[in-house]
Amino acid sequence: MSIEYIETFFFSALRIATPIMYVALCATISLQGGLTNMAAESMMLISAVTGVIFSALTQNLLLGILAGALSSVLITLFLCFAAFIMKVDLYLMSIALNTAMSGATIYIMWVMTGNKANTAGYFASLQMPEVNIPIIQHIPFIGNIISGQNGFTYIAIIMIFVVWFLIFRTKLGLRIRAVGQNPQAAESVGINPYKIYTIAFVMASLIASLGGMFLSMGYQNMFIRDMTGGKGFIGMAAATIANASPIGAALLAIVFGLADAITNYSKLYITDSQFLSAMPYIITTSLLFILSYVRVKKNESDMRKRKLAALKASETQE
Amino acid sequence: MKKVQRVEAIFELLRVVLGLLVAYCITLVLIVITSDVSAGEVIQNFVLGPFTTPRRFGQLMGKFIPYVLGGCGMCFIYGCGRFNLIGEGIVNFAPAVACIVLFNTPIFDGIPWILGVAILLIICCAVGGALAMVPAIGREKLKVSEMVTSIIMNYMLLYLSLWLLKMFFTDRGQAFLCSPMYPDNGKFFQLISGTNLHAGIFISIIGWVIACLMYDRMRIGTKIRICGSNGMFAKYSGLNTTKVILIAQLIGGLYAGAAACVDAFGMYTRYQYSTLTNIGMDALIVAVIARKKPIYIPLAAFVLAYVRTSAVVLNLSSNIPIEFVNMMQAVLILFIAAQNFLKKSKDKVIYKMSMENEKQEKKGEVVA
Repeated sequence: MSIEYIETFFFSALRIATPIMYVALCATISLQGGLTNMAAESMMLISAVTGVIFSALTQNLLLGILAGALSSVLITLFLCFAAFIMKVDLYLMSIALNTAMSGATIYIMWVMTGNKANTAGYFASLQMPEVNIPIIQHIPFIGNIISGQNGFTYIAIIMIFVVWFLIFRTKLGLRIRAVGQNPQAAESVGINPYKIYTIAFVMASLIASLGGMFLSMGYQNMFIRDMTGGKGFIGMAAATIANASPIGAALLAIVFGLADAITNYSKLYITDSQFLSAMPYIITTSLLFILSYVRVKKNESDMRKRKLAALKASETQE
Repeated sequence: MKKVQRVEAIFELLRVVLGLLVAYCITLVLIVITSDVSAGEVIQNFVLGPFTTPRRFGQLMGKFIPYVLGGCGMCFIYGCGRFNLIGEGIVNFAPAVACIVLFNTPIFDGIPWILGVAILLIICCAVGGALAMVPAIGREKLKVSEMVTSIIMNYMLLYLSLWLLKMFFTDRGQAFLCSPMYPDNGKFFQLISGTNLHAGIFISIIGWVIACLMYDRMRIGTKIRICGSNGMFAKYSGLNTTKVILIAQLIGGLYAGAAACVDAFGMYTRYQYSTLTNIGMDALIVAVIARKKPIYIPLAAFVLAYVRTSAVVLNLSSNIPIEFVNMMQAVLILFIAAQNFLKKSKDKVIYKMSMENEKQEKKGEVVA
């Protein structure tokens, strides 16, 4: 196994991890607000198709990305309207929205191109360019892995710190966390939880939309039907395991990306394509269960320690 | 009090009917505006299409049969407040396991039809029940969201069932990936030949009756309803909520397995799923339209099956993608599941009625 081989392996792992990283960050924000964001999939799909169409129509990458983000925000506002004003169960609405967006994107694609499978050949859509980082690209091993990735990958890495800063260092972040831990308490000091939920969801949708547009404008240069393929939920799993910490979630997203890359690379040794396709999902599910088990056990032992300490303290007082 | 309950029931019905109408109209208008198909043609195909030929009506019934079973199961899962969507994966995976028994073991040689079908049903139900427990236990013991696990598992089960198909019982003589033809004692025969109305409908009817009895007349149903409407109350009144919720999801899994069985062995002559079937998601929609009451499930299942068949008919004549129906579902759910939709007018009616009651009572006192 040559070094080049390992380099390309890690390079592709980072590339595959990018959309999962975006979703994990998106899920992190809403988890900090105390809600599970199940609609990440639909946010990604709609922004992916809108980004492709608008970048092709305007021939301007930035406008395409803006349109994609806007479409994702609109869908999220609809979700918030349904969940917080009309009082539909949030999860139910998210599931319905996911199915709806899977259909809507296909319908939009059909109306625009007459094709139901993908937009290739109909739209000259633009792609986010690959970026070479000046100094790092000359470092032997790391340079080949980190440099030369798609622009969206670097934005994802920046986003980790943006989200971290937003949640732990700003007033809004404090409010989001307060609502997440105890909505009633937050309400009693004059914070409107539904407003905070909506803001958190809109921010989450902006991040998810970047992930969607990475799929259609970075990883590929077209929109393919159902191209998210459950990535929204894998990112969700990463955020849940990491206990809604942005850095942990992003790291776990890279772990899931590695699992995908392992699958791709073992195609050389295992020829059973069906079993291989199931592999990333098997790995994700088992990781989800194992890491959650570890977390539950750790919480239990922490509680026991605390109880012991409290007992000791009360004994010494007596 | 009884009057108030009646008003609430009427408004519940109104909400469902209005929701259906609004969603249906929006979809019709959208199709007419965005496609080049004329309005008359849309109405002819989309509205009346499923009833024009016996074959199309059979197609509708073929969809209706698994929807009833899946919807009943979803009533239990959704009724206890959990969103375990594993049904989607079960529909693909359970028949694949049953097919291994069907094609790779000698059990089915020369046994009567009723026994063969019973074995298939039992295998599918057992697999379904076992699979449904995985996300359920994960949620109760490890606090992993059952929705995330079940949706990731759906993709896993899809590919695993394709793998089983390829490894164990594929028909090498065919150009696409499928199993050999089912033997006569391993499938549901057609009730009317040439249509998709098959004998699985009897299983649907039996399943529906059992679900109604269990949900409305038995203790477990009551327990599940209490857990779903107020978990805290259930806990403090001494119910073992974890156990009840697990049982509810087990029942849901069993029903999903049955739905898988009637769909795979009734609609097709061989095992040939290559994608997720969407039956699991549709089952949730059916349960929502039926307002979590198994007694209304056949009605809801018929509505959804009708809409889905209409889409297929329209697609055949005008090439409009079938998936546009999915958009309709979101609107449907928005209206039907919204607690605040029509709430003001309902409150007004109840208020008016109670004021009148009070007046009458006062009058009665004066006379007395």
